[in-house]
Amino acid sequence: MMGSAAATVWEAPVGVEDELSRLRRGDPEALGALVERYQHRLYRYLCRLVGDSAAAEDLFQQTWLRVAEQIHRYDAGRNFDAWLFRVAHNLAIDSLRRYRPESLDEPLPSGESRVEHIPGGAPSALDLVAEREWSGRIADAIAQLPAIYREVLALRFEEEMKLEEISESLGAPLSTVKTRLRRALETLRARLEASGAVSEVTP
Amino acid sequence: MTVKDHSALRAQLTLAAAGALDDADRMEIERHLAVCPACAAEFARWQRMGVAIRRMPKPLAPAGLVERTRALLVERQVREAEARSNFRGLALLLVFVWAMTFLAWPLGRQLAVGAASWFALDSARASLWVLAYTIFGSIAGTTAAVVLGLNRRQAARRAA
Repeated sequence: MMGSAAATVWEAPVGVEDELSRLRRGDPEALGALVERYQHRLYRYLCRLVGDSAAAEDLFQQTWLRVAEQIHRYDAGRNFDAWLFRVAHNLAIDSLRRYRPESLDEPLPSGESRVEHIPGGAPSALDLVAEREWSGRIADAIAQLPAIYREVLALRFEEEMKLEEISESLGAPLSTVKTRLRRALETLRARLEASGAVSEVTP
Repeated sequence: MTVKDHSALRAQLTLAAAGALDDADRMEIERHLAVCPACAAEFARWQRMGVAIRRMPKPLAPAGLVERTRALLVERQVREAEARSNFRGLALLLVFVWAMTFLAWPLGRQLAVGAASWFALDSARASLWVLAYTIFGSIAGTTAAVVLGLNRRQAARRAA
């Protein structure tokens, strides 16, 4: 019925370990390979977090510059995904605090997200029209959640990160991550109910 | 199953559907769902919401972002190489200046009392040579320092 418990040992995807060891040896090509490998995941995460494609692009570049500066601090035995997303998280939170401090805890003032209008990736062929419409409504509702809720939903459901990885990425205790995830889902559902869309959730 | 147990377990359905429970809690929930149709239906709703979140339109990195990022990284590497080169030059210059400082007195003395006689110079003219030598060394050192400083400023402007 449900997935098994999260494993705590990180298993690097094929190729990542090789690129990381080359990067630590000072191979400049390795960093370029990592940029390409993580381009969509990292960009998507930043889009969800800051809610703006131009800001996400800027933060994407800043993240990789920071990675280049700090790769010597990365412990090879730890989860690179979590480390990378933590670098991005710190930069994004700094940016949000600087330019839109209200967006961390409050819905975007416009009530309209720019992210969901960005062309998406290839959808599953099995997606039904109704399912896509429902997902679109979910995207609208998520875009209006506070940034900390959008972030935890993106990491859990889009990036399929384990809670331990999310905890490491956010630099927050596991209990905080669980609370944030639960509140994010409950808030999302409450907003969908308020908009009358929740009946479509019923199987 | 008491009412309290039911409420406590129901409150965990959100996290259960998100796959965020540990093994023990997850198994407890599974046992409860098997005997409680209301919670099973609620759990299914949360699961469906999770599926819908996963199927949201996913923004892709725009074309050219990877290339622009790579170009930035290369530019940074070049700047770092320049900075390292400048640092090495400065370090060598410092070593040179210090070596000259320490050698100036014994060299001057040698010129005054010994080597001066090779060129049939009196001690006063020998002192002039020592002075000229020192001035030349200072000018060379200062010129090198100015050149390095200009290079550094140029690199900083490019970085900005």
